[in-house]
Amino acid sequence: MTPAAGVGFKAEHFAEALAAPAADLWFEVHAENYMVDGGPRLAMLEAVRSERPLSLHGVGMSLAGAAPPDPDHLAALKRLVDRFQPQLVSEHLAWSRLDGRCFPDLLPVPRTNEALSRLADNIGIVQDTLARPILVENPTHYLSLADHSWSETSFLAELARRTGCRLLIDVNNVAVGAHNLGYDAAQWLQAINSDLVGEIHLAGHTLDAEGTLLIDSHDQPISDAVWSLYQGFIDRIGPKPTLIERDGNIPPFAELLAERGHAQDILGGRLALAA
Amino acid sequence: MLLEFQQDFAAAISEPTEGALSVYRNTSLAGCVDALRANYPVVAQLLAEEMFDAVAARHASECPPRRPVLTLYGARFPDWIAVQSWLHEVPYLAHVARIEQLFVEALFASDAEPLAMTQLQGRGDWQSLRLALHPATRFTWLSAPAMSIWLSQRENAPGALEFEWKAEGTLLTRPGLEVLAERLDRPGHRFLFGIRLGESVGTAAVATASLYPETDIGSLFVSLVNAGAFAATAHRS
Repeated sequence: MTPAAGVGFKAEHFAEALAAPAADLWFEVHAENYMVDGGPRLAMLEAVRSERPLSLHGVGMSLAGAAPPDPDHLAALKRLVDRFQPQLVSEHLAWSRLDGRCFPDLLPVPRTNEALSRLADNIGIVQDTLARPILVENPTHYLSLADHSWSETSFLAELARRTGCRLLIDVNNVAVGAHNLGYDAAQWLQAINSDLVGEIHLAGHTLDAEGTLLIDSHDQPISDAVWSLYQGFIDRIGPKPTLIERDGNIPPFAELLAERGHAQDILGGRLALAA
Repeated sequence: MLLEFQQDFAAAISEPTEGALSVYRNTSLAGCVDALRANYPVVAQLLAEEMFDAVAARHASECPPRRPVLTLYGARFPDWIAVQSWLHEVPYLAHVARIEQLFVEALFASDAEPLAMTQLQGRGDWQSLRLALHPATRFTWLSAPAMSIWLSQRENAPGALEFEWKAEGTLLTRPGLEVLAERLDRPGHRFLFGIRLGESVGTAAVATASLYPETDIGSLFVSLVNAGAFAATAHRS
């Protein structure tokens, strides 16, 4: 995939998404939403895929779970990958399944050697099954866990070294985590090796009702602070496929395309970094 | 250690909690409630928003998802509603939920060509003709006028319900990309049930006619074929 900007695909934007003239536009979907046997949703994705490159973004593999990936879920992901031939396949550094129960969320994990080995094994199983490397996304943080023995950026780099996976860097997650846990987002991004980055996510966030935590809500336009972090990051590492993510409070497609155009300008070096 | 951490964490967010932990609890719960609202729109309309949120959150805590595919979450919702005594003021609710559960199944079932009447021309031996149901075909018999309620709520804004209290059948088919919904009568239900059991068309027709002598079996069969209830392939003699 040439490093261009894409947009998260929403069914309500189907007609406009197919008609959009933007060069190099691509779409990303949550893989789980298409893990069904048939029907209109898969037909819609076929139509999108016939016009544009596609990225499959998984939210339910529970890579950081204490157990290996659920074989049924992995088989369902493989069927989608085989059928739609996505340019990118990604998952999260998180867990969401325990003792047969699934949590529709991305739960945090202490960065210990045990978690590192488990994650590396699970990523390896997924990559072996799909016969391709995947991208692993850095999580959002709300909670300070006591038991970390690795910094997040070195943990991500070590995972990539052990498994051959690459990284999906969610700049909004970095900004949200930096605010909630009190670290420096720009410094965090500075520690990421350009060669490991396979994709970037940009999204909006909200402040919680108590006014203390930022929530990775994906229901607002991308904030100025995130745009600025993104521009600095691209300026250092060069252009990378970048996705505009929006999952709630869905605006007209034109608004997402405008954000996508802004990212495209940054990728093309058409917006100079303020000196 | 990792397993222990995850067990403790899961237990912590399974109860009302505060601060950062509540973000995880709320996100997880909201994911379940939103999935139930998407899959049970008429149940949601019948209960009104606040009540539905409470019912869905309670269901999610008692019957959490077992798979990460929330598109298909909520298969246990109708049976769960049926045993909630606090919901018995709405006696048709579990039956309406059953229709919506079958609707989700029909919507996401495998694609297949439906059988057309033209494919049956020249196949005169009804006694040996066996048909397979289309993979999206769902039907059931409900001891409440749930199909009338569901159809009226689906088409109209929420309002007063007027219906005659009687049992009704439901037939859902998806010959193309759209689910077709209609009421099913007792003869239609008996006929389809026979086909599902593996009876030949002739056997199912004779059984239906002897139970319901007033029925025009020919028109019943044509209407089921035209609704897309049968698959084009796998009919064998």
